[in-house]
Amino acid sequence: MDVMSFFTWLEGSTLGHIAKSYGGVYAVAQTVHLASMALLGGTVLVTDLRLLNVALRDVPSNAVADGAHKWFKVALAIILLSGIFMVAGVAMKAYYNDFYWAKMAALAAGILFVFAVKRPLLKRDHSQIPGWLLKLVAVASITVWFTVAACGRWIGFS
Amino acid sequence: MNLREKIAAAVSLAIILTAAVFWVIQIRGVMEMLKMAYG
Repeated sequence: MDVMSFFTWLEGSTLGHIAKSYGGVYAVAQTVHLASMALLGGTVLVTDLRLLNVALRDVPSNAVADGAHKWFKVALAIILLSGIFMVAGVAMKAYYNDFYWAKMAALAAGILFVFAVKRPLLKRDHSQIPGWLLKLVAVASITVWFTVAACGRWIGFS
Repeated sequence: MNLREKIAAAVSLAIILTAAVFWVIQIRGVMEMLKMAYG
């Protein structure tokens, strides 16, 4: 099954039917999606601004990063579930939208970055990691999640 | 610097540079469209 066949199948599936036919259900899913994005953005910003020494300077950055990562995982799981439901209703429209694919590429990069690079690095004692590296990782993290959010909004205007 | 730190630095730089190129292209596209629309 190629990508286009998958999107065609998704739009014709029960999930796609529910998303297209019940506006109230779609609205609730979208609200949950946006609220979870706010939570995810909050966890990213609080961690990265701490690493940049901008916010919460009186709290150890290890404690901030560890606490925020738990909620990051919760937010990401809800975003992915609600996002699959939402795209099912507009699967073919999304398939032909460049910004949908830009968002998916940024999302994949963001998830890989967090779980394969950022989190393994930040598990260690931050005082043992060069300060410039913590700041570089924070800037990259803000950049990739900003791109995900901005491309997501741009889908609606393209 | 250990290997994990080197990888983190390289991946972070790659993300920042890729995003910079992407957004410069997008902003140029918008500016071109605005020029075509409004001169």
